[in-house]
Amino acid sequence: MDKDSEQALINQSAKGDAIAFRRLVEDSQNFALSIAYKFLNNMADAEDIVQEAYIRVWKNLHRYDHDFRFKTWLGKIITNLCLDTKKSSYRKMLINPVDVTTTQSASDANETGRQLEHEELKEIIHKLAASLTEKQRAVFILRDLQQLEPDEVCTILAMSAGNLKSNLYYARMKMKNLLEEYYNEKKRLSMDPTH
Amino acid sequence: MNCNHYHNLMYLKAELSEQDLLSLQQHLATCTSCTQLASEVRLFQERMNSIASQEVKPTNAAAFTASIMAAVQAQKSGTTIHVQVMNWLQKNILRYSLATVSLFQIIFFSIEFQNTRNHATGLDFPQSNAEVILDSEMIHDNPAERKQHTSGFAACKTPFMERLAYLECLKSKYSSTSL
Repeated sequence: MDKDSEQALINQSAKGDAIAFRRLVEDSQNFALSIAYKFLNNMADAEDIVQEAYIRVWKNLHRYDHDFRFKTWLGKIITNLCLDTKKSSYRKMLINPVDVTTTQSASDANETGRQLEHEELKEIIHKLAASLTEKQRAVFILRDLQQLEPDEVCTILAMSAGNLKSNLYYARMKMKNLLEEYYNEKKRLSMDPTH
Repeated sequence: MNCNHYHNLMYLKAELSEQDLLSLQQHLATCTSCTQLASEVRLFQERMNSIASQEVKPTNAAAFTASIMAAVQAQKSGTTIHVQVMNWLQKNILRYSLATVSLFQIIFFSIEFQNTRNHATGLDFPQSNAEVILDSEMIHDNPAERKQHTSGFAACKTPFMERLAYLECLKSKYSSTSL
């Protein structure tokens, strides 16, 4: 959807036009769900967050800043909701760090980290991200897992370009090291005959 | 520049300016240890890209849209009623303020009228302390006599009548009933 059509739909929606709002929802719901899912790693929770986000959008359409794209604004609302939702669950994950033996299936006991199933990798990344700070986690998910442009991430997180790079550097470095530790431990366990 | 500077750049390869990217490439061409790290970082980024490339869609897009719209419509109806009430009040604030004052006056006069009528018919007997004392003074604290004359005195009870005027009225009624 081009920017002019988007602005027209936003203006109509702000006047109470539900049909125009429905078109905005249809155009952006996959993007919204993808961000929420990358944060929460659970489809049901992600759907709840997206629904809540659209209710907030509807209520605050009169405050919409036309300098930003609709999806950037929506992404900001979803990110804030996800960060609030995940605070407690990330704390739980930090208390119970990743257990290599529980994420390892019998069939792939001899596989290296590179050969991990996609779903398993996703699960591990989600758990390892719990050890990042909130800002590092947010930039990592939005930039690396959702692949938003740097300026979009800066707008969503109200962050300078320098701050973004700094958080991204530490997030990537920590995640890479944690992932390597995980793979090494998995490899060691697969070679250990007692396991 | 030492290797640490290039280590930082390796993790931000996608965000580098052309100048920094060229500088990094030139360094990697000559540094074996940095090439090893660059390879590890690239492998890590490829794994992240594989997660990013996963398409996330609702199981049933139409049903998902419908559930969002239902939640929004529920908010909309509440919001619309609220907004309509507020707009209506704002537009007619003077008119409805005056109407409210008038309504209160009508209610007040109705109550007073009802009290007066009840008093006149002897239905309303609880009198204020001042009235009881006044009546007692007039009829020498004789309850039987007081009850007999109450209906006659009730005519004196009208809204806004001052106590002195009420006293004069009672006196005149007392005189007329005594005669």
